[in-house]
Order: sequence, then C-alpha cells, then structure tokens
Amino acid sequence: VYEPDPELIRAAGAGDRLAFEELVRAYQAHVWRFLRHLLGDPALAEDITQETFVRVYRKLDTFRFRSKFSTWVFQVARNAGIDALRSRRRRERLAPLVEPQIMDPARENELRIELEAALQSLSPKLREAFVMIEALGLSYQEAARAIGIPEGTVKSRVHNAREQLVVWMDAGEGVTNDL
Amino acid sequence: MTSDRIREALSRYVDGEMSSSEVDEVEQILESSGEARRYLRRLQMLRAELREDGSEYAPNLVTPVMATIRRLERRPGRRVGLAAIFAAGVVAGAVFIGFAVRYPGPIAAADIPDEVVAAQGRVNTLTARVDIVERGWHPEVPDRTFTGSIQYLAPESIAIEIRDNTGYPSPDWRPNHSTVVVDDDLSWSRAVAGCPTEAQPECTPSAPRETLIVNREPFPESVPAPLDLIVPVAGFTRASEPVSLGVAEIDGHEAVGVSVTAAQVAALLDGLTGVGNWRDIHPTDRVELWLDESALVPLAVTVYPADTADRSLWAVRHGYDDSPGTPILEVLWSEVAVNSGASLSMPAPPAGMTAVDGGFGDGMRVDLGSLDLESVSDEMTPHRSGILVSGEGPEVSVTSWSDGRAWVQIRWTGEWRGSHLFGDLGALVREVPLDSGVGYLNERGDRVGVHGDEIDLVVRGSLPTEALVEIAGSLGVLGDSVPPSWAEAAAATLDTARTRFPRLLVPHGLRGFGSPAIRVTSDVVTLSYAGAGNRAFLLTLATPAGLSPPLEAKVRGVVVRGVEGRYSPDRGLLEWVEGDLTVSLLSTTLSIAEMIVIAESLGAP
Repeated sequence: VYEPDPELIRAAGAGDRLAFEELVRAYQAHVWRFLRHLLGDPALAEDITQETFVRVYRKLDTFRFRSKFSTWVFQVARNAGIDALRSRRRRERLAPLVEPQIMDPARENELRIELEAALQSLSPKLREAFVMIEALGLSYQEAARAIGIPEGTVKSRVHNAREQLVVWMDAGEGVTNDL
Repeated sequence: MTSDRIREALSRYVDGEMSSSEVDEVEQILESSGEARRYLRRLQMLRAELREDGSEYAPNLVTPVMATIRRLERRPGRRVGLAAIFAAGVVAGAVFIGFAVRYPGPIAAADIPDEVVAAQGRVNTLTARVDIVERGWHPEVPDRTFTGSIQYLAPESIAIEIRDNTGYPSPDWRPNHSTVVVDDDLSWSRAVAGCPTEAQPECTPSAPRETLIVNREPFPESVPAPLDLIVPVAGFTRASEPVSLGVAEIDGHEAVGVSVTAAQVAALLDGLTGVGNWRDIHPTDRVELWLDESALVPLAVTVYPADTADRSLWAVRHGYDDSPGTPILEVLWSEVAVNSGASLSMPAPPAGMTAVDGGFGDGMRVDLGSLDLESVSDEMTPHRSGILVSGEGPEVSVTSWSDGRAWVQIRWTGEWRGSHLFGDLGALVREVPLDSGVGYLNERGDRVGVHGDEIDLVVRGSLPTEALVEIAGSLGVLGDSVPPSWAEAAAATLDTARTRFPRLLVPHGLRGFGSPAIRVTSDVVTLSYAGAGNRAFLLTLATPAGLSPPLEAKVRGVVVRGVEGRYSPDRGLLEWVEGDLTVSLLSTTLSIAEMIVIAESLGAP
C-alpha cells in the first residue's frame, strides 16, 4: 500500500486541499475495498468511505507519524465501519423486515456472491482482520495497529477466518478436510 | 506437527509471516502431503478471489469528499498556476501533477466526446512545451525525466522533440532522446530503439534509429502523423460519457479533466512514447486527462496502473514493480499557444539520412472521372492530391481535404482486381445504405468502402462515421453489393443474423461502442464492436457447444452467466458454453471485469 511523503501529509494537515485530494485519490480504492468486505454492501461502503475521509481530514493534525499513514487511515476506516455496523444492527432490531440487499448482477458473478455471503457469516472481528490481511495485503503488525489488538490475535483471527471459509469452499464441492 | 498446527502454519506461510527455517519446514510438509497442498490451494484461491474483487468498480470519491469538506469549511476554492503545481509536486515527492479542482465544469461530461470531435476543426497551429516523468522503466532507473516541445501546423505537419534529462548509472545506458517530424510530403524520425526491460542496457544499440520518408501520401495509414497529440479525436470518437474530474486551471488555461483508460487514448500516448525506448503501458491502466476547456487540446496526462490481478501479472512479466496509487507516466504541457499566428517551420532532417520513397506523386494530375466532390469542397479546404504507385499494385488516385486538424482522404482506382473490398477494410464490415447504392464500413467506422462499376474507392478521415458515410454517398458512384465470392459477402445486419442464427445473443445497455460489424456463416456468427481509441471486443457464438483444450497454460476458471467458463489473460479470451452454444468474448483492451459485465448483459436482440 502506498505511503505518502510526510511533507504531503503535513501540507494536508495544514489545510492544503490540493495535498489532501492526493491522499484521497491514493487511498480511496483501498478503503472502499476494505469497507465493502467489512460491511457486505457496496453502496454503504461508498458512504462510509466518504465519511472516513472527512474524519481523516478533521483529525489529520493529530497524526503524529508514529505509525504508517496507511495504517492510521485504515484505523479510521475501521472505526467508521464498526460504527456503521452498530448503526445497522440497531436498525435491524427496530425493523426485522429489512429490505433484501440488491446486488448488481452485471458486476457480481456467482462465486463472488457466495464468497461475500461466506465473509458476512464470519464475526466482524474475524472479518476485519481477515480482510485487512487478505484483501489489502497488510502485514500482521500493520493490521494489529489498525485494529488495536496484539499481533498474535491478528494471526489467530486470520487463521480462524480461513478455517471457516475453507470449510465453506469444501462444502460447496462435497470435499472433507482430512488435514 | 499436528493437523491444526500445519493449517495454522500454512496460514502464516501464505501471508509471508514466518522465518526462513519455518518456511523450510512448511515446504517439506507440502512436498510430502497432498492434503497440505490442497489446503494451501484453497487459501490461494481465497486470496485470488479477494484481491481481484472488482476493485475497478471502486468509486471515485474525490469529488464528493472534497465537496463535503468545502461545505464544512464554507471556504471558497482556490486556483493554482504552474509554479504552484510544480511546488506541490516537489513537496509530494511522488506526485508531479496536482490541481485545485472546481465542480461542476462548464462542459457536461456527457458532452466532452462530441466537443472534442468538433474542436478538431478549430485548431490550426499549436506550440507547447512538455515535461514528462516516467516511472518504473527499469529497477536501476526507477524515474526518468524529459523535456520537449511540440509544434503543429494544420493539417498534418508536426514536430515533437523530446530530450531525456535522466541521470543514468553509467554511459552504457542510452538517453531516450527522440525527434519525430511530419512536414507534408516528408517525414523523419530519430530515436533510440526500444528494448525489453530485462535486456537493458546492453540491448539498446548505440546509434539511434533513423527513418526518412519522402513522397509521402497525405494522411498515410503507415506512419501517420500523431494528430491525437493535438486534439485527441480518436480517443473520443464513439466514446461514452467519461468520468469527470472537474475543472482546474493549468498554466493559465481553464481545463476540464476526465478519467479514461489507456486503450481509449492510446493514439495520444503513442504520440509521445510511440518512438524511442519507453516503458509499456497496459491498455486497462487509468488515465487522467486534462484538456483546455475551449480548444480541447491536452494540458496534462497522468497514467495510473490498473489495480487488478491480471495487470499485476502483466507487470511481473514485463519486469515492472508498479503500485496502483503511483503514476507511471505524467505529462504536463506548458506555454501552450493555439492559433497564435506565429510562423512555424518544421525541422529539416539531418544530413546523411537514407530516404525511403513513399511512392506518392504529389500534384500529379488526378483524373476525377465521374466523381462529384462538390459536397466535400463546400465544407473543407482542398489539401493534397496525387497518384500513388506502389510496386505491382494498381495505380491509385488520392485526394484530401482538411479543416484545421480535421481531415478526409478519398482513394480510388479503376484497376482493382482483388477478391475483397479495395481500401483494406478487413473481413468484418458493416453494410450501410448510401444515397446511391450501398457502401461498407470497417469495424472502427473510420473508413467507408464503395464497390462501383469500374471504380472502387474508400473514404477515410477523422470525421464522425456518419459524415464519412455521407461523403461516400455524395460522390456520384452507385455502390454495388460485393460479389458472393468476396469475404465481405458474409457481412450481415442484425436482422439477417437473427434469421440465420435464431439463438443470436447481443449485448444490452452497451455504451461507448458503435454498431457491430457482423459476419455469419452456417454455424458461427461473429460480432465486432469498436469503441473509442483502441477499445474493442469480438463476440463469437458457435455451434456445436464445447470448449476445445486451451492453447496456453495461464487459463483460469471463471463463473459467467451462472456457468463455469474460462479466461485466458494472455489472449484476452473469455469462453463458456451456454445451452447448445459456445460463446466467446475476445478483447485485448478491456479488463475481465468489463468483459463479465458485457457477458452478463447478453440477450436476444
């Protein structure tokens, strides 16, 4: 994942919109991908990606360069995503008949729809760790910083997520896991 | 190791999170255990699915985010000039070009393609400076910088001189200086030869490659003048609404920005990097193009690598270490002057170059016969006419007109003995009604062939397809249907194709592509769709159903229209079986994601 020059971050933090725009351009696809898998809803992911960057802009002057900038951005995205999940859960409790999620048939093939469903069957804790490692390519250390948990916990959550997803893949093909 | 520990170790193995001794241990287990290998394959499949997960659909949120921030701060936007742009580039380190962007622009994004095509008639001269940054050409020379100049005199005289300012590790590396000049009936170029990355620097010959063509025909098909560098007409003819980047001020010019693919603006990019030793750009790479708001001439280009698995594999094979967020090519125009009235003269070729005769007798008396050219002359200015004689081929008369950068060429002969249409239209053509008889359009819709009595002709040009068809129909030649023995006789309309092939499927909701050229035989129907620039795809439906063994190793399974199909990234070939049909989509310029969208949209006409 791209790491910007510290001067660009400082310029953005000082209110240089041109610099901030470059940061949005650099990270928007990564943040959207992460949130899409975390939330299981491309449209909601789009909204929360925007929310993420507004939060990043407001908090930019608090960034102290103690971690990678990308890790910090994912931390903000993760927090915004968790807020959205909580908000959705509240809505679901109030309205049991939630509208079915409409997937764009032209953009989703069957396997991806199934994989998305399997991802959504994971607990949010497993899912966020797994997506950070697998889809974004972060290291265990970077994901640990973004989520705020020990590195060993990231490792075990990613492993547990994979165990569940491999069972799902094997079930689709009638395979038993003998390892 | 216990089974659970092995799986946990494999999980860390795919993440690259283990020591070398642990890696050795895991690889020993993988050698001896089929179950471990199968589990690893599962993990790799999961990764492949998640890393190629439609990121190309990631929305561009720069506009709404910046609009929200502006609203929150209730502060007006600001503008920056060239100095500030460069200063921003220096500060950013990895960012050469940056603009303060305002929304919305005065030209609606949907109108930009038509505006660009129309603007070609308004540009008569152009001079500009260009600054270029290229990244990732070679691991030992990650960044290269260039400066250059462009001179243009309508309709097709142009000089592009580029100087390489890169500091290379040693004199073994040849600077990538290049010069390309077209001066009416003469063209010449001088540049180092291109070489694959892995063979640098040894493979670059010490002497530059030189070419000089004299007696050049107007607007030739081979070695054409890079006119999309002046106004990118090819990149926007047939284009759908591009993604808008808003407007900005660049070096004192109001600019409109659009996001397109490299395939769409290939002619523009080739104008700068088509000669010399440059890195390759993938057709699906994203290009941010900024055009002067009024003249629609380019002011800035930034190319970003596409963020897909196929693009990554392509980069590995080319020896590139590209990162999706980092531009691989940035070009900034400055000191741009359009129609300034300055007197321009193109540089003469250096002494000693060996000339190749293009075979065109400029000014030779052309026998118009019964051709009526009045309607063309009403709209455009006569350019060059003459006779083209090439070896054993027939004598061909050529005449051309221009209007600024816009051009039309008509070639005809009374000696055509070929078994296909005169004018190299290709086998896939579309029959079009003319004012008198019928004509044939090539796949790209930029040439119209007419087969008449004792005359065969082709109309080519930079005008929209409809204008070329109109000109072809106004020439007073009755267009006959081609003889049944000619390849083009298999050309069909959608109606005839449906009659002869009842299971016909066509894309629906397709934007940015022209009507298809269709060819029907007893058991195969082929539909060729051309879009803007190099964007194109071929849809083939065949009976009986069944996929033959793949020709290459890099083929992967994909689910398309609810069935298992396969995709070859090297060939750009997506194939599947559907009922009693074998269906394929072939494209070297569209991403697999775009092809899946097209496949999913297929239905009866």
